[in-house]
Amino acid sequence: MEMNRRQMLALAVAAATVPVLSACAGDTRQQRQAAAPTKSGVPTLDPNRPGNDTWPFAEAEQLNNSLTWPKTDVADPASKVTLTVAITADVIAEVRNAQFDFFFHKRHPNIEIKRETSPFDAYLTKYMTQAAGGSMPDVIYTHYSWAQNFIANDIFQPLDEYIAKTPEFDKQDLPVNALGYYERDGKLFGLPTDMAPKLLFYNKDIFDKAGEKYPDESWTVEKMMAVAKKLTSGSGAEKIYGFTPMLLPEPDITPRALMQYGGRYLNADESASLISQPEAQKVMGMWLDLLNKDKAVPSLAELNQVLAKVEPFKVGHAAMTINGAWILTELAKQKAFTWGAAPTPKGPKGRFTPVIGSALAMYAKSPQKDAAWIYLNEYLSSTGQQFRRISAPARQSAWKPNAEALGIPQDVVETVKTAMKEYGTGDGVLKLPANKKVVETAKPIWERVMIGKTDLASGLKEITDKITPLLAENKIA
Amino acid sequence: MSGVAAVLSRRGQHTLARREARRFHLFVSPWVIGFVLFTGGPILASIAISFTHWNLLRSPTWAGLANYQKMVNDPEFWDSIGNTFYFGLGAVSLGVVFTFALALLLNQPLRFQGLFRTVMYLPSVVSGVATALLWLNILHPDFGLINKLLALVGVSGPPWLGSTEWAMPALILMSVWGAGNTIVIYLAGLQGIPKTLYEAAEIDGASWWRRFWSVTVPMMSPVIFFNVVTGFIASIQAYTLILIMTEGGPANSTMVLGLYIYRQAFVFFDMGYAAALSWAMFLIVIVVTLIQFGLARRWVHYEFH
Repeated sequence: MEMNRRQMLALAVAAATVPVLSACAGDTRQQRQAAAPTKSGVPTLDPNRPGNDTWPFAEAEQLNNSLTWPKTDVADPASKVTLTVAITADVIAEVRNAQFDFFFHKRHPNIEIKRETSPFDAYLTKYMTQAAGGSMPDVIYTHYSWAQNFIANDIFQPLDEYIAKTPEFDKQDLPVNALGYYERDGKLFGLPTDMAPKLLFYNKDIFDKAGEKYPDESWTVEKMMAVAKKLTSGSGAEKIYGFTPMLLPEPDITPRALMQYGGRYLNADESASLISQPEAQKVMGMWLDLLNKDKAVPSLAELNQVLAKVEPFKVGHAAMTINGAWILTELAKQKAFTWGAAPTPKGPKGRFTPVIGSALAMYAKSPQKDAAWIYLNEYLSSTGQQFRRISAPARQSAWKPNAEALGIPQDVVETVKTAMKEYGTGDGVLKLPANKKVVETAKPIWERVMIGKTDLASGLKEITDKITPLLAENKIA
Repeated sequence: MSGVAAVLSRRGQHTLARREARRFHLFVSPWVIGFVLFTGGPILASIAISFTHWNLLRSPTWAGLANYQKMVNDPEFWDSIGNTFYFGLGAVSLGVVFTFALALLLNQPLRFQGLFRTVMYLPSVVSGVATALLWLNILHPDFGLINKLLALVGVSGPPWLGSTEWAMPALILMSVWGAGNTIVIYLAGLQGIPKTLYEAAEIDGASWWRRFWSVTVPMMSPVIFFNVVTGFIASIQAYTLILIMTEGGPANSTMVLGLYIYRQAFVFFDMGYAAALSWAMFLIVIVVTLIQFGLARRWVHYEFH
């Protein structure tokens, strides 16, 4: 049974070498991505002077003292209470949140904040499971697409009564087109923390190299696709996509791509599918051509293999992308390429863009609702959003000071403001309880269309057939 | 005297037996208590949950057999079973051949044997997420080690995880990565084969292959059977690495049953349906295992002493 020892040794060494070689085979694009400050986690901070190199405590203290914090008629608790706040944040934002809580406690000595920070991917599962146990934090972060499910199941407290007790509360400073995610039966159940439109971002270096003019408000969807085709070059690791990502039947596809041609994914009350109708089908066909004929957007293989890990635009491998204004901080910090932002392109039926974001809400069974409101009122005020320096504040008055502090160009801020005022919308964005099931059910069908295993018309009809029964879940009491 | 001695001896044996029994129950009690509280209870609860509609945010409501009816009429459920068997058959077949071969190699008496065994076991102690990230790099169509090696011999590698045809083979390939435990079991089995059998075969003039096929394989057949049974059960339940690597895609080509249950439970929060699917998985495990035991009579050789 014995083998030649030299052969045995060679085999074993070869097997042992695999992990080492594999580690060396990583691409530089991923290494660059790793440098981006997007990791989640909770850094260890000095509880008496929370801060780090990015957010020094002294700077935070100075900023805190320079700001005027909003008032409310809701009285502070007479005795000490602990308020549990569940949020999701990356390591950078977590430091700022710790500082906010530190100064908040100084202003309200009877309110102790217990902050629970979770990675976004794990957040919903964690708190849905906690809800099953009948206990939730007093203040709860919610993504726009989760809120209606929580509201329908009586998890969130209406905030109108508390807003009425806060004369300074400036509802007009919040984007009207974004409140619908958190409203039901005329009541408001959540206050947006970040809320931003999607814009057309472009890589100036790629445009300059090709001698192409930058996108502007005159651009149509067809023009964008034609330029995307023109700017596509290279292959493999050197590939430059004209546009990224490929259009998918995601929650915001209606204002993102279909409304421009008079199409919709679902009807307004999300009870019927419209994606197989001619208007929507035309748009989906245009994007399929861009994918399969022009090869100007990442293919399904590239979407699954590359895009989930590295967004080609963010590493200089795509000429254009339509993305949310929340990527502005990341773009402003990177030095790999120069970039610009333009209004999303218009179609025959006009210009639209989704306005999406997230909010904080109050647990309906919270024993300290007053303290929760005091926290919400300050955290989500313009002052609070300026203190936290978030890049896509829901408070419109916080945009300018935050953009200046974060190094976001003024012209981009103006583009954002115009989008928010003139063509940004929440209409058509899937938000009712079945939205996740709808998206996940449509995804594999659309993927089969993308790779040519199902033709366009059949694929869209199959999506309609499959998601229609799911939409019954949206007819909530 | 001899009668008294016998009685005393029996009493001593009884005392010893009682003491051993007490110790036995003491030592197994943490596991039994843990199982009853943290595993047995949820298992029983899941039966009840499978007859309810439950979204976690409200109390469960009675659904009767609705979840089971939905399952029977759910094409994605049947697709996921197909994918599960594809993955299970592939992973177990490749795993058995690969790990048995490695165990044979590691059983060779040569210098640094311990080092080689340690190296081969190392992947088993790497965490699942790290393994997934490693294999995402190995399988990357542009920068991955496998396609780079294929390119050296003029072969253009497939997109692996990005392809509906190649994603599952890629996952099967990856599944043998952490087979260190299986190798250890094979090694123990190989070392338990009496040398006299090989010596007798050699005297009879048996070749290397003949000794392997007529001595090693029959003597190892109970171990192979054990690994096939446990490997197939693990394959039917597999979902963690698949979730990280493909999320069931592309186009649901890697949507195995375990992942489908996870999706129903923790993405759609349809706990009743997820519980019903879990019991379907249990039934599949039972049926497949019974079939394997039935077939085992034909090829598993037990040596009774």
